[in-house]
Amino acid sequence: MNNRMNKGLGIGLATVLLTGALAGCGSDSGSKESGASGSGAPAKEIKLKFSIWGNDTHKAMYETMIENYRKDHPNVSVEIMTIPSADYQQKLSVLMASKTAPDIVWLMERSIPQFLGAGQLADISGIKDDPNYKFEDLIPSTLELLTKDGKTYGIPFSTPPNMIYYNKTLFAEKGLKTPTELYEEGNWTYDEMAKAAAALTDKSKGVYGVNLIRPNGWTTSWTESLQTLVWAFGADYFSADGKQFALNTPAGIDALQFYSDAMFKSEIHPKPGDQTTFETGKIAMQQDLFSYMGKAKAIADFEWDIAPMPSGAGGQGTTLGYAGYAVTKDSEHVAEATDFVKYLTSPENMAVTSQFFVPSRKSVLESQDFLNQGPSPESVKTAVLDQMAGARVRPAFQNFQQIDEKMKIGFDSIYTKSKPIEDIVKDLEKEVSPLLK
Amino acid sequence: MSKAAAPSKLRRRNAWYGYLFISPMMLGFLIFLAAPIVYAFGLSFTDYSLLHPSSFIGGDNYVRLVSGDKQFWHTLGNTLYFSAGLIPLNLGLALALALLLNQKLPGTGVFRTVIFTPVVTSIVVWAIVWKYVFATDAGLLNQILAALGIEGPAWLYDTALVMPVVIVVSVLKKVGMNMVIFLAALQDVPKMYYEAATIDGASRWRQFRSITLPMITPSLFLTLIITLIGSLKVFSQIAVMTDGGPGTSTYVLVYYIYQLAYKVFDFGYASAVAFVLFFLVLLLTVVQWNLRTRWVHHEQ
Repeated sequence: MNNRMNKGLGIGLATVLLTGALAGCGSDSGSKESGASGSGAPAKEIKLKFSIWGNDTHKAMYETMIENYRKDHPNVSVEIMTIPSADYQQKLSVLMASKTAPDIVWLMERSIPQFLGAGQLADISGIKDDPNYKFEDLIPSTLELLTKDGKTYGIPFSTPPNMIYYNKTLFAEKGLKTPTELYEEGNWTYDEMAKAAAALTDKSKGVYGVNLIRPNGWTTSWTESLQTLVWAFGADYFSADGKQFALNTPAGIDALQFYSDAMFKSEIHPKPGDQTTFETGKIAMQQDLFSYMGKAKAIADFEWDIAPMPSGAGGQGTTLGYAGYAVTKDSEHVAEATDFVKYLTSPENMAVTSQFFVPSRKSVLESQDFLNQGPSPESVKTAVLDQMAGARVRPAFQNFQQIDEKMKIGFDSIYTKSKPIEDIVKDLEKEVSPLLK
Repeated sequence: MSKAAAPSKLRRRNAWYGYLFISPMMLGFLIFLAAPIVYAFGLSFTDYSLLHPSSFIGGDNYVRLVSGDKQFWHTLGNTLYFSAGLIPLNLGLALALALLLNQKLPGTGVFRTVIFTPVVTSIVVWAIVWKYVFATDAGLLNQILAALGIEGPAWLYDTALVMPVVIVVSVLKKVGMNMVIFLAALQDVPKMYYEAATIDGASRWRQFRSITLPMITPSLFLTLIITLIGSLKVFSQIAVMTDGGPGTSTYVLVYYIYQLAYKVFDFGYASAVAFVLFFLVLLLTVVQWNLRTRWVHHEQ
């Protein structure tokens, strides 16, 4: 840590000296920059830190964008910090408390109330003033989580509905109707999905019909992977006002029982701790978000497509993932960081990020370019665009971390089969209710 | 007078040199270890959290710990289970390997290296590899079992199996260190005792019981203390392989402290739990140190 800081300081010092020397030589770009900042002095070297939980392909995309940004802002450099999503909120909380947080951060819906409530995010409403930015193009509902008292504290960049990726080749081998066909007939339900999955499961080859758990998602299963199932069965984890635990109902028990049976009874679903991925061709139907598209596109061994989530007694229960950029209040460069966020979410750049992230700009979402990001324009329309209106963002809490711990422990009892489902939800109610008051 | 003063001056000067030479270590210890420990002790009497301003709450944290926190006692039990499983297995295996590799057989150098390699491997890398080995279905172990026609269990998702799995993984990681200590001790045992015993007609077992074991007791004692303290501090392999789960079946003290401090942000209470661990380690070390005179037959 110390070492890295020293090294950073050294590089910073060297660049300052270098820019100083260049400015002394009367460099044109230097004086132009200083004119823009209005101070008349040579532009100061500014280093921004930007934290994400994305993968290497996301990082590479941002690096290209940063290169382009530096053409107009040669004094600004942006360093990308990758923090695994499972530790993201926790790590950021500690960084914020020690005032060493990155200047620009990705935030997911569940962590926004904590940081916004603690006053750790900067007001970036100034972003609206530039007519070229086209603020009104951002879909209003996506801004709600990051707006407080009429002020804007961040810009969403990814609002993906979850969906089913399915292995077309496996469906063709068994001569089954695909999820897309069933959806068009209006028959795409959890019962039909279970039936198809049973037909597709082949134990001798290690093939499973359906996997609801997103990659590496066993420990975060309750929120990341199973919210849709619970909603689709007409149940919910929490009451609408977020003050009561609501899973201890017949519908809630049915939802978890369906999930448990899929793993242990009909064995159409991988068992707890299984790490088999869709790319291996051993999962016929996989629940995931739009952001998985990058990996799916690399698949060469079989054909695949996407379909909406099946429906149950409570509808489809499609969840809307949510991620936004925000600027931290303790940043030394709030103005520059805000400008960088503005750059990242401009109409042009949101079109670039739409290769991984479902855009929050109407013009980009409805563009032909975005439709071309999936396996086919038709399936992107059915599985993404048509689902946006009915999809819901997961609930967020200021003390999400505490609730998450208790929920995880409870859901582990499903995996260890140590208690019947009725007892699991009863115990969860006892543990979680005090945290919601 | 001048004669008496000279050695004392010299001694004083030598003492200053001594302090000078140990000062880097002492300063590091005071700034980076002693000060945070004292600070954490102070924190354990507050409700310090990242989310709200903290206030002094006296011994409330310790009262809560003793009387109201079932999870703490469960965690303490898990920690002792881990230690009780790890220590005999680790010491027994290390001693057996050391005796085996102390023989002059071809290839012992290779085996010594192989067994010692995990000690210098990163614990996180080690734990991730084993997490994949023990994965359900696609894991190496269950693939091997499947080839033999046995359906392997979900190793890391079974409350009864998960702790033994973590113990075995931890033993394999650390056994090399103890083995090396034992090897050094074995090679220090003078050959003449064995020669005398052989002439007297003592069996191999008798030689081991009456010569080898008494002669290596200082090493046995050392490894016992190190392994015990290490086992109470177990964290990384738990965090990587099980995340305390399934449920709370692999919650151990340090994991619980981590979870309280960095997930729930209850730093005050986490500090109190940390001090329980501190005193536990202290107590066990004092007890062992006092028993040493009875256990250790030979100490230089």
